[in-house]
Amino acid sequence: MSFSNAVLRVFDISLGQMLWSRRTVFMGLATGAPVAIAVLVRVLHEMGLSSFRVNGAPVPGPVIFGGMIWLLYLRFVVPVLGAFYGTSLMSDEVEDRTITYLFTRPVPRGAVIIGKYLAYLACTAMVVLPSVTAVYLLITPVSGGSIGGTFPQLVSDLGLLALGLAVYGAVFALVGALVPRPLVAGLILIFGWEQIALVVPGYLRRFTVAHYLQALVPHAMPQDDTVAAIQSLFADPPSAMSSLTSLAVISLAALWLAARTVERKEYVLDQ
Amino acid sequence: MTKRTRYFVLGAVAVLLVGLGGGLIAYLAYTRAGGVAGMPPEMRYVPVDAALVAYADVRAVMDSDVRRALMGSIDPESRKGRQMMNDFGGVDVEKQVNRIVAYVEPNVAADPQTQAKPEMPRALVLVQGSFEPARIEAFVREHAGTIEEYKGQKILLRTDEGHDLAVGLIGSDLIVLGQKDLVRRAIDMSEAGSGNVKTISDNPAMMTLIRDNAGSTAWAVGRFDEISRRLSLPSGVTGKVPPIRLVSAKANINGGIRAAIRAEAADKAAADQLRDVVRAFISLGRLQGGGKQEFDTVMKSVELSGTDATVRLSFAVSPETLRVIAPGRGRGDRGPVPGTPNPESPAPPR
Repeated sequence: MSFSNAVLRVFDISLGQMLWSRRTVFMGLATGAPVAIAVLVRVLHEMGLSSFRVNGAPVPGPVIFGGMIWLLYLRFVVPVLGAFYGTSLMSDEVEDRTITYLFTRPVPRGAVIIGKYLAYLACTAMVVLPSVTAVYLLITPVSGGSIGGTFPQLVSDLGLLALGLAVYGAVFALVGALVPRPLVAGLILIFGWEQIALVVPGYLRRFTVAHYLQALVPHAMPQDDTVAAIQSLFADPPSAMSSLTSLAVISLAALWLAARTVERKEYVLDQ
Repeated sequence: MTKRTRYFVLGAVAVLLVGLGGGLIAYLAYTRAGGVAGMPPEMRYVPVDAALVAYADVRAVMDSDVRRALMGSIDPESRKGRQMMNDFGGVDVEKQVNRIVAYVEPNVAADPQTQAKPEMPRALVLVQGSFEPARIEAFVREHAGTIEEYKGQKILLRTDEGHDLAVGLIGSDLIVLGQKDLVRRAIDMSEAGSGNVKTISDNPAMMTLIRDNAGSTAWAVGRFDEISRRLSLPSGVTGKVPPIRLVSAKANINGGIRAAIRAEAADKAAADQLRDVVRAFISLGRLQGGGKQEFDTVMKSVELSGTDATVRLSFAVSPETLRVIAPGRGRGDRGPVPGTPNPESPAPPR
């Protein structure tokens, strides 16, 4: 079986497995919560109550939407889904002791992780992107916002989040292929390394995915906490082209390394 | 792929397509109506080389809590602007106007140094609303104005303090006010469409700032050199301000005012220098406003940010602060306005 056919076969099997696994409940909660918040904001608005105010002035819908993209999706949903699903691509097979069945098939080992990665991408994108679209349609018209006027921003946001899922997924697929307890390592990477590196002055932030992703966000960064304030103080965002190039390099390099690791690594199953 | 998975995929794709399709239709309708996404349709009358462009959503301001809160404290004399408009065009801004777009053409004076007094700016004001052409026409005739026809549209002319002003009616919902040739140009564009004429949407530098203001209740974007000249800033001040290319200001008005000022400096060094200057002014403002609660609240909301050559300053003003600083409050010959707290009297217990 050719590499591409093997990838498609693994993708087909894995997509169904991922969609109907226990993790889907978490994914449903993570992407359903913003929609619930959006419904609440819209209901309050329709009732004549402004839910978000700054010094008494109601915040327009597009600004609330921009804040939700930053705080809920970009800083939480995308990296956490990437960690939960990306790290489990190989480790689940190892823990469930089903990896033997995959490796004894006449498919290249590297095709297994690439196929699973593509299934992860399709699975998360099919949940996250409709959620963002629903939030956009609910929130944007609030307090004078216009759907027509801000539509290009939605397209940018969807592309950005899909890119975020792709890059985080690739990085965590590599972590999953390398490390014995990958989820813990993944969470440390998101909530430890990335958070610290972003606020430390100097070049360390260049070794984070968030640095390049945040440079592409079409909305202003909300000054929600001290960390964000410090981050904006030292912010020196790269250009859009340089961010896109860096993210593409990170994804491709991580996927290649992950495939190479799976090809070469000897997986020992616990008795 | 199982049936269940297939249904899920189809459902997710359907939600995405409905959202994107609906958004795209709204976007196309918006672009077709206005020529510029996120902008009022009247922007298509603004030429590519406009030095200053401004917009105000009059309806939003009139319906805002701020206006309702201020109406009680504003002296009737301060409604002069509205009355002037009414005197000239027979238009009631409060009831008939929805939005206003205005632009100023760049100064073409041979030598500004030799000018005794600055020329009247070449500007056009586009007022969108629901008007009664017959009433406006009658109003102009009553006030010694003349009427001429241009391409089937009526242009009302009136001389005011030595300056000729023209009012054109484009349909029944758009009034254009300004110099005669600018009014004629607007009528030309309304009939032929912008076609090959370059509009402000062809000016990427200005459009970057204008798009940034989309959705705001009121905004203005302009070239700093033109603004400083119009404001007649002393050379001592302009000489000390780092080189700035464009300036933009926007305000969202409702329960209070959230405003932001953005400046595009010539380069990163100039932007850093400007940030230092603004930071110094903020510190000075905090010192000056010390003890006055209403100013403290405003100063606390001030945020200075920006990257590369961009400098941003934002702040928010609450309705309470507006009531305190509103015209008429500080005059000694008037007592406190009923219904508003007297700053002289002790604060009521909370």
